[in-house]
Amino acid sequence: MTHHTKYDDGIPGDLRAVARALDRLASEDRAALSAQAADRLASALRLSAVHAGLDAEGRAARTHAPAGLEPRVYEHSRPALGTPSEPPAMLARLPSVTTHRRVRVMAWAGRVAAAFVLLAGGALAWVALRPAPIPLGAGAPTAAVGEAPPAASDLVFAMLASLDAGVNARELDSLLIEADSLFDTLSATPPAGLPAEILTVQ
Amino acid sequence: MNHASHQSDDDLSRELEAAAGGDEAAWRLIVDRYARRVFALARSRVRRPDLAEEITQSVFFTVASKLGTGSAGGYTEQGRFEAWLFRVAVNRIRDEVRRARRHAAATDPEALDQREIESVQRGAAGPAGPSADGASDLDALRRAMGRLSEADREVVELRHHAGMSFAQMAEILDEPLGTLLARHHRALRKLKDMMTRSMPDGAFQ
Repeated sequence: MTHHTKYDDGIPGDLRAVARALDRLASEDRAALSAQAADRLASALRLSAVHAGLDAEGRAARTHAPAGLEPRVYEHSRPALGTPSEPPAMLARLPSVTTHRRVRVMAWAGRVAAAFVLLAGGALAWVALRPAPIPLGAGAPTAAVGEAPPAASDLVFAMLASLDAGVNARELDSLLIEADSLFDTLSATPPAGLPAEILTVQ
Repeated sequence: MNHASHQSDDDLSRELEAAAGGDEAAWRLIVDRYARRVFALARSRVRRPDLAEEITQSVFFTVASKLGTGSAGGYTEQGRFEAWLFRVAVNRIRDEVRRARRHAAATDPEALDQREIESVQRGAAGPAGPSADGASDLDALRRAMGRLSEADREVVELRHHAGMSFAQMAEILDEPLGTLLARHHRALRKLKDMMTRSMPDGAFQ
């Protein structure tokens, strides 16, 4: 099976023998491929073409995002889509803070803030509603520096303090009654420590 | 003779389409038309028939994987199948030669060729004796091709073993047509000189 090139005319005459020898060499090399080898190659190529077609179809299917999947998410997860063993939820590999988690954090923050508001309000109400302490009246006897405290009883001081604080009329009446009874008692009972002769002299 | 010259582009397109669909008859036609040319190109370079057959299979499997897939890097028939096929073959052969040089210098075809050619130059007094018949002429020519530069040898092999036109070679090698014509002429001249020195009886005169 010898072949000759079409461009022999373009080859100088002194080189044509070399060109023909090269053609003979090429024919020998071509004939070295057996017919069986060519048949095997054709059969294998048919299978290879079928597999290549299937692979191409698979690639084409993977290049289109599935319906309902956001294109950005799909592009982000495309490399992982090639591994079918992983669950679909893990393929996207989106940022780990989800909306649900953010809402939960905000709910707890609201609860803590509401607790602070309630505590503050309760404290204010307690302070506002607490009864004011009874101030000492201006007319109450006070002890000067270096002097002994007044010898009157606590009841007198309490009465005078109540008068200065502006108690109502009913309380004033009851206090006056108590004062009358007090003075009656004082006048009927001689002071302790005084000799009875002195009292009786009058 | 260009084996595909009689084949119209329409016929080739139909065959390629059928082959891409898995039609074994179409693949047989394509293999019959091109496989021997690819095999001859590989065998001329690597010298070992088994390795040349392996390279041929590899080239056609690449073709089968790219044919009609429509993907990036795939081939879509535009009337340049032959040039594309032999570009794949040239690249595959270059890879094989590079790998052989890197990993097995002792079995490097170029190195073997060099030793054989030196033997030829010492008087061509091998077991077959001086070139008295066609077979030893071809053996001497094969050894002489081993002394060509890589670029010259590639042009000669594409022209004679693969049966490519110079226009197709210009497309495959990405070289100007005039450069390839000049390189081919120079390569033939070198071969003639080497054969003349190795064959004192003037077989190539």
